[in-house]
Amino acid sequence: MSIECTNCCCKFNDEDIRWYGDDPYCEDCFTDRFTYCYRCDEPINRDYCHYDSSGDPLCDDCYENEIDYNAPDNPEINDAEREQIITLSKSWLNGKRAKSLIRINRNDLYLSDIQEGVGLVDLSLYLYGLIDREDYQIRVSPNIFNRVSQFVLLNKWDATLTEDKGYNRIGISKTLRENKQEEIIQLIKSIATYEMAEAE
Amino acid sequence: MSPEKLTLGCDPELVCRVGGEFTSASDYFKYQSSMGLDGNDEIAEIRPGYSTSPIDLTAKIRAVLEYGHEKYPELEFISGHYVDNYAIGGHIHISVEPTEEIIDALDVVLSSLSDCIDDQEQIIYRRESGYGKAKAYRKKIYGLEYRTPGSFLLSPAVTLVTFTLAKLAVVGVTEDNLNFHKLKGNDDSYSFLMKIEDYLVTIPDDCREGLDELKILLAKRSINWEENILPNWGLITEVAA
Repeated sequence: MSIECTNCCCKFNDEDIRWYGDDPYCEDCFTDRFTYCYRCDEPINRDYCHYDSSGDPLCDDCYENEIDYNAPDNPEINDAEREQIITLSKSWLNGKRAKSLIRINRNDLYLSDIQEGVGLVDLSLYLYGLIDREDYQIRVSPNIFNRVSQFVLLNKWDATLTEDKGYNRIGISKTLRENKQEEIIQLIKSIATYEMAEAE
Repeated sequence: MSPEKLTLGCDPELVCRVGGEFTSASDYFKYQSSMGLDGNDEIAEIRPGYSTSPIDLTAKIRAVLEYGHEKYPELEFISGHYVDNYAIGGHIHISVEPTEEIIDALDVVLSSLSDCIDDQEQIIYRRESGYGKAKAYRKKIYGLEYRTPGSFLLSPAVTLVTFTLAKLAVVGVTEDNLNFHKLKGNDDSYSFLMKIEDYLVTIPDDCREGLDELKILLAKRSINWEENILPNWGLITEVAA
Protein backbone atom coordinates (compact mmCIF):
# COMPACT_ATOMS: atom_id res chain seq x y z
CA MET A 1 0.00 0.00 0.00
CA SER A 2 1.39 3.45 -0.83
CA ILE A 3 0.86 6.54 1.29
CA GLU A 4 1.10 10.19 0.24
CA CYS A 5 3.61 12.41 2.09
CA THR A 6 1.84 15.33 3.78
CA ASN A 7 4.53 17.72 2.61
CA CYS A 8 5.80 16.76 -0.85
CA CYS A 9 2.68 14.78 -1.86
CA CYS A 10 4.80 11.99 -3.37
CA LYS A 11 3.66 8.43 -2.77
CA PHE A 12 5.76 6.05 -0.71
CA ASN A 13 5.54 2.53 0.56
CA ASP A 14 4.15 2.10 4.05
CA GLU A 15 7.52 1.03 5.46
CA ASP A 16 9.20 4.24 4.17
CA ILE A 17 6.74 6.51 5.90
CA ARG A 18 7.30 8.25 9.25
CA TRP A 19 4.50 9.72 11.28
CA TYR A 20 4.06 13.04 13.06
CA GLY A 21 0.81 12.56 14.95
CA ASP A 22 -1.66 11.38 12.29
CA ASP A 23 0.29 12.93 9.41
CA PRO A 24 2.49 10.74 7.20
CA TYR A 25 5.81 12.06 5.88
CA CYS A 26 8.51 10.64 3.65
CA GLU A 27 11.96 10.22 5.22
CA ASP A 28 13.41 13.41 3.68
CA CYS A 29 10.49 15.67 4.55
CA PHE A 30 10.32 14.28 8.06
CA THR A 31 14.03 14.90 8.66
CA ASP A 32 13.71 18.43 7.28
CA ARG A 33 10.78 19.33 9.51
CA PHE A 34 11.10 17.22 12.63
CA THR A 35 13.56 15.79 15.09
CA TYR A 36 13.24 13.70 18.25
CA CYS A 37 13.29 14.86 21.84
CA TYR A 38 16.58 13.89 23.43
CA ARG A 39 14.82 12.92 26.65
CA CYS A 40 11.50 11.26 25.78
CA ASP A 41 12.03 10.39 22.09
CA GLU A 42 8.80 12.12 21.01
CA PRO A 43 8.96 13.65 17.50
CA ILE A 44 9.10 17.45 17.62
CA ASN A 45 8.69 20.14 15.00
CA ARG A 46 12.07 21.80 14.45
CA ASP A 47 10.37 25.24 14.34
CA TYR A 48 9.16 24.85 17.92
CA CYS A 49 12.04 22.88 19.35
CA HIS A 50 14.04 23.82 22.47
CA TYR A 51 17.71 22.97 22.92
CA ASP A 52 19.58 22.17 26.11
CA SER A 53 23.03 23.49 27.02
CA SER A 54 24.66 20.67 25.02
CA GLY A 55 22.62 21.53 21.92
CA ASP A 56 20.33 18.49 22.17
CA PRO A 57 16.67 18.98 21.13
CA LEU A 58 13.92 18.95 23.76
CA CYS A 59 10.13 18.93 23.44
CA ASP A 60 8.01 21.52 25.32
CA ASP A 61 7.15 19.17 28.18
CA CYS A 62 10.71 17.98 28.82
CA TYR A 63 12.05 21.52 28.51
CA GLU A 64 9.52 22.84 31.03
CA ASN A 65 10.19 19.91 33.37
CA GLU A 66 13.91 20.57 33.22
CA ILE A 67 13.82 24.26 34.09
CA ASP A 68 14.09 25.46 37.66
CA TYR A 69 12.67 28.96 37.34
CA ASN A 70 13.60 29.87 40.92
CA ALA A 71 17.34 29.28 40.50
CA PRO A 72 19.39 32.48 40.14
CA ASP A 73 20.00 33.41 36.51
CA ASN A 74 23.26 35.36 36.08
CA PRO A 75 22.51 37.13 39.41
CA GLU A 76 23.38 40.78 40.00
CA ILE A 77 26.16 41.23 42.55
CA ASN A 78 26.25 44.09 45.07
CA ASP A 79 29.12 45.57 47.08
CA ALA A 80 28.29 43.54 50.20
CA GLU A 81 28.56 40.31 48.19
CA ARG A 82 31.90 41.39 46.74
CA GLU A 83 33.18 42.16 50.24
CA GLN A 84 31.87 38.80 51.44
CA ILE A 85 33.82 36.89 48.77
CA ILE A 86 37.05 38.61 49.77
CA THR A 87 36.37 37.99 53.47
CA LEU A 88 35.54 34.31 52.86
CA SER A 89 38.63 33.88 50.68
CA LYS A 90 40.99 35.40 53.20
CA SER A 91 39.45 33.51 56.10
CA TRP A 92 39.82 30.18 54.30
CA LEU A 93 43.39 30.97 53.32
CA ASN A 94 44.20 31.81 56.94
CA GLY A 95 42.33 28.84 58.36
CA LYS A 96 39.71 30.98 60.11
CA ARG A 97 35.94 30.90 60.14
CA ALA A 98 34.53 33.80 58.14
CA LYS A 99 31.59 36.04 58.75
CA SER A 100 29.05 35.91 55.95
CA LEU A 101 25.93 37.61 54.65
CA ILE A 102 22.55 36.34 55.76
CA ARG A 103 20.93 34.08 53.19
CA ILE A 104 17.86 35.41 51.44
CA ASN A 105 15.26 34.43 48.90
CA ARG A 106 16.42 36.64 46.03
CA ASN A 107 12.97 36.62 44.46
CA ASP A 108 11.36 38.45 47.41
CA LEU A 109 11.12 42.26 47.50
CA TYR A 110 13.43 44.37 49.72
CA LEU A 111 15.49 41.41 50.94
CA SER A 112 18.62 42.35 48.97
CA ASP A 113 18.56 45.81 50.61
CA ILE A 114 18.11 44.27 54.05
CA GLN A 115 20.92 41.77 53.39
CA GLU A 116 23.25 44.59 52.36
CA GLY A 117 22.20 46.69 55.40
CA VAL A 118 22.91 43.84 57.81
CA GLY A 119 26.35 43.21 56.28
CA LEU A 120 28.58 40.35 57.40
CA VAL A 121 27.44 38.43 60.48
CA ASP A 122 28.71 35.55 62.60
CA LEU A 123 25.73 33.22 62.35
CA SER A 124 24.12 32.07 59.16
CA LEU A 125 20.45 33.04 59.06
CA TYR A 126 17.83 32.65 56.35
CA LEU A 127 15.43 35.52 55.66
CA TYR A 128 12.47 35.10 53.34
CA GLY A 129 9.40 37.08 52.37
CA LEU A 130 5.81 36.44 53.42
CA ILE A 131 2.80 37.80 51.59
CA ASP A 132 0.63 40.18 53.64
CA ARG A 133 -2.00 38.27 55.58
CA GLU A 134 -4.13 38.99 58.66
CA ASP A 135 -3.30 36.07 60.96
CA TYR A 136 0.49 36.60 61.20
CA GLN A 137 3.22 38.84 59.80
CA ILE A 138 6.37 37.09 61.03
CA ARG A 139 7.33 33.40 60.96
CA VAL A 140 10.29 32.36 63.09
CA SER A 141 12.03 29.05 63.68
CA PRO A 142 11.73 27.79 67.31
CA ASN A 143 15.40 28.36 68.26
CA ILE A 144 15.16 32.15 67.81
CA PHE A 145 11.44 32.63 68.43
CA ASN A 146 11.78 34.14 71.91
CA ARG A 147 14.44 36.65 70.89
CA VAL A 148 12.46 37.86 67.91
CA SER A 149 9.30 38.00 69.99
CA GLN A 150 11.09 40.11 72.63
CA PHE A 151 12.43 42.51 69.99
CA VAL A 152 8.99 42.93 68.43
CA LEU A 153 7.44 43.62 71.84
CA LEU A 154 10.11 46.10 72.96
CA ASN A 155 9.94 47.98 69.69
CA LYS A 156 6.13 48.00 69.69
CA TRP A 157 5.67 46.47 66.26
CA ASP A 158 2.07 45.82 65.34
CA ALA A 159 2.84 42.26 64.25
CA THR A 160 1.81 38.72 65.14
CA LEU A 161 4.41 35.95 65.22
CA THR A 162 3.98 32.31 64.36
CA GLU A 163 6.39 29.42 64.57
CA ASP A 164 8.29 28.13 61.51
CA LYS A 165 10.22 24.87 61.09
CA GLY A 166 14.00 24.47 61.07
CA TYR A 167 16.76 26.68 62.51
CA ASN A 168 17.64 30.35 62.13
CA ARG A 169 14.80 31.16 59.75
CA ILE A 170 12.73 34.33 59.69
CA GLY A 171 9.92 35.15 57.29
CA ILE A 172 8.66 38.75 57.26
CA SER A 173 5.56 40.19 55.59
CA LYS A 174 5.81 42.55 52.62
CA THR A 175 4.39 45.53 54.50
CA LEU A 176 6.88 45.15 57.36
CA ARG A 177 9.76 44.76 54.91
CA GLU A 178 8.61 47.89 53.13
CA ASN A 179 8.09 50.07 56.21
CA LYS A 180 10.52 48.79 58.84
CA GLN A 181 13.72 48.04 56.94
CA GLU A 182 16.03 49.70 59.46
CA GLU A 183 14.37 47.94 62.41
CA ILE A 184 14.54 44.59 60.63
CA ILE A 185 18.24 45.18 60.02
CA GLN A 186 18.73 45.84 63.75
CA LEU A 187 16.70 42.75 64.67
CA ILE A 188 18.79 40.49 62.46
CA LYS A 189 22.06 41.98 63.63
CA SER A 190 21.01 41.38 67.25
CA ILE A 191 20.45 37.69 66.52
CA ALA A 192 23.26 36.92 64.10
CA THR A 193 26.15 38.98 65.50
CA TYR A 194 28.03 37.63 68.53
CA GLU A 195 28.86 41.10 69.89
CA MET A 196 25.30 42.36 69.77
CA ALA A 197 23.90 39.13 71.15
CA GLU A 198 26.32 39.31 74.08
CA ALA A 199 25.53 43.02 74.73
CA GLU A 200 21.92 42.07 75.24
CA MET B 1 39.06 42.65 23.03
CA SER B 2 40.12 45.15 25.70
CA PRO B 3 40.62 43.80 29.26
CA GLU B 4 37.60 45.84 30.41
CA LYS B 5 35.32 43.97 28.03
CA LEU B 6 36.76 40.49 28.45
CA THR B 7 34.12 38.33 30.14
CA LEU B 8 34.59 35.13 32.09
CA GLY B 9 32.03 32.40 32.68
CA CYS B 10 32.21 28.77 33.72
CA ASP B 11 30.29 25.54 34.34
CA PRO B 12 32.15 23.71 37.10
CA GLU B 13 30.87 20.36 38.32
CA LEU B 14 30.34 18.94 41.79
CA VAL B 15 29.81 15.52 43.27
CA CYS B 16 26.89 15.38 45.73
CA ARG B 17 26.94 13.41 48.96
CA VAL B 18 24.54 12.89 51.84
CA GLY B 19 26.12 11.96 55.14
CA GLY B 20 29.41 11.35 53.35
CA GLU B 21 27.91 8.90 50.84
CA PHE B 22 27.61 9.56 47.11
CA THR B 23 24.17 10.51 45.84
CA SER B 24 23.02 11.21 42.31
CA ALA B 25 22.52 14.90 41.51
CA SER B 26 19.57 13.97 39.28
CA ASP B 27 17.55 13.13 42.41
CA TYR B 28 17.72 16.82 43.35
CA PHE B 29 18.42 19.14 40.42
CA LYS B 30 17.03 19.79 36.95
CA TYR B 31 18.97 20.06 33.71
CA GLN B 32 18.14 23.62 32.64
CA SER B 33 19.09 25.46 35.79
CA SER B 34 22.00 27.49 37.12
CA MET B 35 22.17 24.85 39.88
CA GLY B 36 21.71 22.05 37.40
CA LEU B 37 22.95 18.78 36.02
CA ASP B 38 25.90 17.89 33.87
CA GLY B 39 25.28 15.82 30.68
CA ASN B 40 26.04 12.94 33.03
CA ASP B 41 22.92 12.88 35.24
CA GLU B 42 24.87 11.91 38.34
CA ILE B 43 26.88 15.12 38.66
CA ALA B 44 25.74 18.64 39.59
CA GLU B 45 26.82 21.55 37.43
CA ILE B 46 26.90 25.23 38.36
CA ARG B 47 26.11 27.82 35.66
CA PRO B 48 26.58 31.17 37.38
CA GLY B 49 26.43 33.42 34.29
CA TYR B 50 29.32 35.65 33.37
CA SER B 51 31.17 38.79 34.38
CA THR B 52 34.23 40.82 33.47
CA SER B 53 35.30 40.64 37.14
CA PRO B 54 36.78 37.48 38.72
CA ILE B 55 35.37 38.62 42.10
CA ASP B 56 31.86 39.09 40.73
CA LEU B 57 31.88 35.73 38.96
CA THR B 58 32.98 34.08 42.22
CA ALA B 59 30.14 35.88 44.03
CA LYS B 60 27.68 34.63 41.40
CA ILE B 61 28.84 31.07 42.07
CA ARG B 62 28.17 31.61 45.77
CA ALA B 63 24.67 32.86 44.99
CA VAL B 64 23.95 29.69 42.99
CA LEU B 65 25.47 27.43 45.66
CA GLU B 66 23.39 29.23 48.28
CA TYR B 67 20.26 28.43 46.31
CA GLY B 68 21.22 24.76 46.05
CA HIS B 69 22.04 24.58 49.75
CA GLU B 70 18.82 26.30 50.75
CA LYS B 71 16.79 23.90 48.63
CA TYR B 72 18.57 20.74 49.80
CA PRO B 73 20.41 21.48 53.08
CA GLU B 74 21.27 17.81 53.49
CA LEU B 75 23.56 17.82 50.44
CA GLU B 76 27.34 18.06 50.68
CA PHE B 77 29.29 19.15 47.60
CA ILE B 78 32.76 17.92 46.69
CA SER B 79 35.04 19.53 44.08
CA GLY B 80 38.31 18.35 42.52
CA HIS B 81 39.26 16.27 39.47
CA TYR B 82 38.06 12.75 40.23
CA VAL B 83 35.65 12.08 43.08
CA ASP B 84 33.65 8.94 43.91
CA ASN B 85 34.72 7.42 40.57
CA TYR B 86 33.51 10.40 38.55
CA ALA B 87 35.69 12.77 36.53
CA ILE B 88 34.61 16.33 37.29
CA GLY B 89 35.73 19.43 35.46
CA GLY B 90 35.75 23.18 35.76
CA HIS B 91 35.43 24.56 32.26
CA ILE B 92 36.17 28.26 31.93
CA HIS B 93 34.40 30.39 29.30
CA ILE B 94 36.27 33.39 27.94
CA SER B 95 35.02 35.94 25.43
CA VAL B 96 38.07 35.83 23.21
CA GLU B 97 38.78 34.19 19.86
CA PRO B 98 40.91 31.10 20.58
CA THR B 99 44.45 31.26 19.22
CA GLU B 100 47.36 28.90 19.78
CA GLU B 101 49.07 31.58 21.91
CA ILE B 102 46.04 32.05 24.15
CA ILE B 103 45.49 28.32 24.69
CA ASP B 104 49.22 27.92 25.41
CA ALA B 105 49.08 30.74 27.95
CA LEU B 106 46.04 29.28 29.71
CA ASP B 107 47.73 25.90 29.78
CA VAL B 108 51.03 27.11 31.21
CA VAL B 109 49.47 29.37 33.84
CA LEU B 110 46.56 27.21 35.01
CA SER B 111 48.44 23.92 34.89
CA SER B 112 51.11 25.56 37.05
CA LEU B 113 48.40 26.40 39.59
CA SER B 114 47.08 22.86 39.32
CA ASP B 115 50.58 21.45 39.93
CA CYS B 116 50.75 23.44 43.17
CA ILE B 117 47.30 22.99 44.70
CA ASP B 118 45.40 20.09 43.11
CA ASP B 119 45.30 16.46 44.21
CA GLN B 120 47.77 14.92 41.76
CA GLU B 121 46.30 11.42 42.05
CA GLN B 122 42.86 12.74 41.11
CA ILE B 123 44.36 14.46 38.05
CA ILE B 124 45.82 11.17 36.82
CA TYR B 125 42.50 9.34 37.27
CA ARG B 126 40.63 12.11 35.42
CA ARG B 127 43.06 12.03 32.51
CA GLU B 128 42.85 8.25 32.34
CA SER B 129 39.09 8.58 31.99
CA GLY B 130 39.61 10.79 28.92
CA TYR B 131 39.13 14.25 30.43
CA GLY B 132 41.34 17.12 31.53
CA LYS B 133 43.97 16.73 28.81
CA ALA B 134 46.34 19.65 28.22
CA LYS B 135 45.19 22.33 25.75
CA ALA B 136 41.64 21.00 25.71
CA TYR B 137 39.31 23.70 24.43
CA ARG B 138 36.27 24.26 22.26
CA LYS B 139 35.50 27.23 20.08
CA LYS B 140 32.16 28.76 21.10
CA ILE B 141 29.91 31.56 19.87
CA TYR B 142 31.08 33.79 22.72
CA GLY B 143 34.77 32.88 22.30
CA LEU B 144 36.32 29.78 23.85
CA GLU B 145 35.70 27.15 26.49
CA TYR B 146 38.91 26.02 28.16
CA ARG B 147 38.29 22.46 29.34
CA THR B 148 41.48 21.30 31.05
CA PRO B 149 40.91 22.42 34.70
CA GLY B 150 39.20 20.28 37.30
CA SER B 151 36.43 21.63 39.48
CA PHE B 152 37.98 24.56 41.32
CA LEU B 153 35.06 25.22 43.68
CA LEU B 154 36.84 24.07 46.84
CA SER B 155 36.72 27.59 48.26
CA PRO B 156 36.12 31.17 47.11
CA ALA B 157 39.89 31.71 47.25
CA VAL B 158 40.72 28.82 44.89
CA THR B 159 37.93 29.94 42.57
CA LEU B 160 38.95 33.60 42.59
CA VAL B 161 42.61 32.81 41.98
CA THR B 162 41.69 30.47 39.10
CA PHE B 163 39.56 33.13 37.38
CA THR B 164 42.17 35.80 38.00
CA LEU B 165 44.94 33.73 36.45
CA ALA B 166 42.73 32.81 33.47
CA LYS B 167 42.01 36.47 32.83
CA LEU B 168 45.63 37.53 33.30
CA ALA B 169 46.88 34.77 30.96
CA VAL B 170 44.59 36.02 28.18
CA VAL B 171 45.32 39.70 28.84
CA GLY B 172 49.05 38.94 28.90
CA VAL B 173 48.80 37.56 25.37
CA THR B 174 46.29 39.96 23.84
CA GLU B 175 47.61 43.18 25.38
CA ASP B 176 51.28 42.56 25.98
CA ASN B 177 52.28 39.69 23.66
CA LEU B 178 53.67 37.68 26.57
CA ASN B 179 54.84 34.13 25.92
CA PHE B 180 54.21 32.37 29.23
CA HIS B 181 55.86 29.20 28.01
CA LYS B 182 59.15 31.07 27.54
CA LEU B 183 58.67 33.03 30.76
CA LYS B 184 58.28 29.84 32.73
CA GLY B 185 61.29 28.26 31.08
CA ASN B 186 62.75 25.67 33.40
CA ASP B 187 61.18 27.12 36.53
CA ASP B 188 59.04 24.82 38.60
CA SER B 189 55.36 25.77 38.82
CA TYR B 190 55.63 27.30 42.30
CA SER B 191 58.57 29.56 41.39
CA PHE B 192 56.90 30.60 38.14
CA LEU B 193 53.65 31.60 39.85
CA MET B 194 55.47 33.43 42.65
CA LYS B 195 57.11 35.57 39.95
CA ILE B 196 54.14 35.94 37.62
CA GLU B 197 53.16 39.39 38.87
CA ASP B 198 56.60 40.67 37.82
CA TYR B 199 56.09 39.36 34.29
CA LEU B 200 52.69 40.96 33.82
CA VAL B 201 52.47 44.38 32.22
CA THR B 202 48.73 45.01 32.14
CA ILE B 203 47.04 44.10 35.42
CA PRO B 204 43.33 45.03 35.50
CA ASP B 205 42.19 46.38 38.88
CA ASP B 206 39.78 43.47 39.36
CA CYS B 207 42.73 41.05 39.25
CA ARG B 208 44.70 42.63 42.13
CA GLU B 209 42.85 40.78 44.89
CA GLY B 210 43.25 37.39 43.18
CA LEU B 211 46.97 38.01 42.61
CA ASP B 212 47.45 38.85 46.30
CA GLU B 213 45.58 35.72 47.32
CA LEU B 214 47.61 33.58 44.91
CA LYS B 215 50.72 34.06 47.05
CA ILE B 216 48.91 33.06 50.23
CA LEU B 217 47.33 30.09 48.46
CA LEU B 218 50.72 28.87 47.25
CA ALA B 219 52.03 29.11 50.81
CA LYS B 220 49.12 27.13 52.24
CA ARG B 221 50.44 23.93 53.76
CA SER B 222 47.66 21.48 53.20
CA ILE B 223 44.57 21.55 51.03
CA ASN B 224 41.86 18.97 51.61
CA TRP B 225 40.03 18.21 48.35
CA GLU B 226 37.86 15.63 50.10
CA GLU B 227 36.00 18.17 52.20
CA ASN B 228 32.49 19.51 51.73
CA ILE B 229 32.94 22.91 50.07
CA LEU B 230 29.91 24.58 51.70
CA PRO B 231 31.55 25.77 54.97
CA ASN B 232 34.34 27.33 52.90
CA TRP B 233 31.69 29.40 51.09
CA GLY B 234 30.07 30.41 54.42
CA LEU B 235 27.08 28.23 53.70
CA ILE B 236 26.65 25.91 56.63
CA THR B 237 23.93 26.98 59.02
CA GLU B 238 24.91 27.34 62.63
CA VAL B 239 22.32 27.35 65.34
CA ALA B 240 21.94 30.59 67.27
CA ALA B 241 22.56 30.22 70.98
